[in-house]
Amino acid sequence: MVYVDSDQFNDELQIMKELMDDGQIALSDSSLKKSIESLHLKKAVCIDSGTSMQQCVETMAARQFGCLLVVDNGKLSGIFTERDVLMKIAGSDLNLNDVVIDDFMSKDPAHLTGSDTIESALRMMGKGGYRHIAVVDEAGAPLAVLSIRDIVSYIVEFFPQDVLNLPPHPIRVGTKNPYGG
Amino acid sequence: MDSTTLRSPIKALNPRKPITVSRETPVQEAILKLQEKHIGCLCVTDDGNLVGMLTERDIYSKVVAGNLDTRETTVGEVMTYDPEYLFHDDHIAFALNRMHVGGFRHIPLINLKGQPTGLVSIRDILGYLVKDM
Repeated sequence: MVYVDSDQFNDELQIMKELMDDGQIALSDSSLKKSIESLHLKKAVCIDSGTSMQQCVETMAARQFGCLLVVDNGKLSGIFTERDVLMKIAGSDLNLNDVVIDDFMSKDPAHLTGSDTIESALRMMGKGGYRHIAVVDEAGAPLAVLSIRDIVSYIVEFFPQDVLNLPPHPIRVGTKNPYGG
Repeated sequence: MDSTTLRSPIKALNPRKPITVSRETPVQEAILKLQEKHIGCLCVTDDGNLVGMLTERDIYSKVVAGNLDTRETTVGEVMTYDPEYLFHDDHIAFALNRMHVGGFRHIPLINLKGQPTGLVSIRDILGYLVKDM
């Protein structure tokens, strides 16, 4: 085992800090070439094809997750998100017990496998305007959901000092809180 | 991309103008606005000042899942109160912090009078950061 004396250790810390301040430690293109399975993906909330819309909306609300993957014969057949609730269901006079998810889901959605890169996921999200992408196994069975938030969290991990280690409120020179105090 | 990108002001993202409704607006009307503009979030104002946000999440978890009558319910009854807000000159790092830690997808931007003047989304930030790489 190699023991490092504390002066040496502090020197190392100082060098790291200087590199970070100079912007030399940074998120590079290679960071985006990693596979999406290296992210901590959320397990998919799956719903069987033919499930009533009422049950689907209740499941979304109970799980606090804005995306359902619809499964037909063990395979991904659709995706249904909170955007679909807003655009297709909210404000309508539908009786949600009388309609099924298949009528409102996006059929045969774009999907990825765990070995695809973060870069390809980003491209897919940007191009399609998606916030959630289904991740499936080789047989097409849904495994997880990759959300735009997962990618943001990945990026944040590279810059803990800049994003997580912040004062509670920005220091605003020459301004004051409009709410008084 | 490096940490200097995160110290750019939020206004570098060209935040879009927010769409506002009042607390008393019926939810039905707010939903139509969201659908028409194809957006996921409205700023709720009282006397011009930001008091809340009405988001997609409020719509599905409170209105639709709760089977509320959208013509009888007002925005004030289902909105998210006291939202986290920032100013146009604050660093992007703060917006990213609020989104990562607080789990928000939209952050309203206000002026010194407390009026909402912009809206920045998680997609705006990601688009900016990735373009910058």
